[in-house]
Amino acid sequence: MCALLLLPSFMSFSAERISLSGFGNFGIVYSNSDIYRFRTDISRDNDNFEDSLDLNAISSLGIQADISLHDDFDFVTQFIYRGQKKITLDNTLSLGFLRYKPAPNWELRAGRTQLDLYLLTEYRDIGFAYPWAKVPTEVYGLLPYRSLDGADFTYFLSNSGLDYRFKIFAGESSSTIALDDENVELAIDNVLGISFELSQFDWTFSLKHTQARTQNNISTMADIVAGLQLIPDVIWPDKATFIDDFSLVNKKAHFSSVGLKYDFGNITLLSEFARLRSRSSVVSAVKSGYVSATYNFDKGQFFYTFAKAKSDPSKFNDAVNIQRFLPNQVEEIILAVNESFRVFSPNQQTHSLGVRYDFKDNIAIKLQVDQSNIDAQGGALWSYQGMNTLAPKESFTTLFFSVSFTF
Amino acid sequence: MKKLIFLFILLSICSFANSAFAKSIAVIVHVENPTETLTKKQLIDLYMGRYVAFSDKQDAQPLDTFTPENLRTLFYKRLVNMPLSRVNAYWSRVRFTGRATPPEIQQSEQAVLESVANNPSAIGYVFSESLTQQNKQGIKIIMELYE
Repeated sequence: MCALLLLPSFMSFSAERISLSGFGNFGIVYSNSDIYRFRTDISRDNDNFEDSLDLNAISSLGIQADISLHDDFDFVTQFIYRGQKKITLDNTLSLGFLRYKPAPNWELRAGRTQLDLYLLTEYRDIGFAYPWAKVPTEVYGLLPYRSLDGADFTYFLSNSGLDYRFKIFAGESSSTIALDDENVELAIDNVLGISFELSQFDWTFSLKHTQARTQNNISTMADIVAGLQLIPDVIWPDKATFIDDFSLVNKKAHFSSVGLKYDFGNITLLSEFARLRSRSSVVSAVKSGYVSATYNFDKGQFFYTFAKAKSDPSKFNDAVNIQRFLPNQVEEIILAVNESFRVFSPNQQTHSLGVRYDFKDNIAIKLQVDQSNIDAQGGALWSYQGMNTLAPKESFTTLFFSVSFTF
Repeated sequence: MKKLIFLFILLSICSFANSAFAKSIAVIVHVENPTETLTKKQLIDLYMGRYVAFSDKQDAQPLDTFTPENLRTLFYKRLVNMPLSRVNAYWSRVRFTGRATPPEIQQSEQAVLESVANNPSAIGYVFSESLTQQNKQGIKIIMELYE
């Protein structure tokens, strides 16, 4: 943000070249489920339970300016509209960084960059960049964060026909989490990440790991903690330990992924496995992954993807040993705690089949059919009206049709 | 008779198509650029934003061109075996994540020749048959791409 504010004065006397470009995605989503509504990730709410057709869920529009300032410096800024209900500079600005690149094999960027958590996180909103109508929700749906306010350093090395790309980054981020009846902020700071890619042009192997610290409790968690503290120690001697584990304040979270992309002939294989874990019992350890095969033809691609997310959410009864009959108020708190344990705990899998047709060199139309199986209480990645602890098992079909373009 | 005419038209089209595809593409740099040759991997790195510099680590400025029609399509087909739509998809991953900017697009082969002749950092490509003694002044060929 600082880099963005300092830009005008720097630009006024030193801008050498400015180029504008952009991208967009207009999509329609149809689902035959009356219970779950599609969303790309948990930052998006979708309260459109009246209509089976959704025009907002995968639609987005972005514009970018690349400004060359000097031989070694350039500035990049990008704004994305992707259905934000309230538009602000902060929630539409996805890139705003100053780059120092004194040599072709290393660079330093400071400002707002995209958060490089998993293989596709940096470009998941850019529909033209990938064959599918949307990136696999099982892996990317649990990541609300898009940008990083901070800095990164990248080093590139080419040796014996192999390319090595190292990147380290640090900073902070914030995002909304869309719950059943409200949108709440969850900030992370002390973000420290490393990304390593080994590649030739037709294959890429990537390893990424990021740790961060969640700053605050969300929604009613503060009230739940206050309620838990009222339970007498006589009933629950281990209360303090449980409350400490439950809170999201100052808790480390870890995001790890390993990915492989391989092109041979007309076939592209892409696979990624990711793991999310936290010291807070609210965020259960989530393992997720996908395998995707794409057949490339001259004007487009056919693809099949299988994706799965598996988590093991905490349960109140596992964590405490309460020997006595509970007063009603305490039972209500227990219910609220178990409800919280389900917010970040998906259990589902999806088979996807689809086609992308490149209508022009910069315009693609896509059609995708998803068959999703959601376990009982496992629909955290979807919009659902009601208590997570009562969310039913469901199998259903979702259709995606989109037009993606760049300009 | 109609069959013979149809066969003749078909053969003419095939012959024309073959001649278009058989044209070699010359990769050119400024005459004073110390680079004498490039490997295909180095050219891929330059044109796909992976490592945008010559062998001596000097920054490079790759150029594309809109015309003649098919030159850009053939260049990328021979370079990375991809249609332009997939090249654009690749660049949308690179550009919109702020990693690199795609090659600057010139309006014509003549504009590419002039830019390369005037800029020691530039690298471009033209059909080899478009080069004449006159417009070759100030440039040199470091690689040729065939079908």
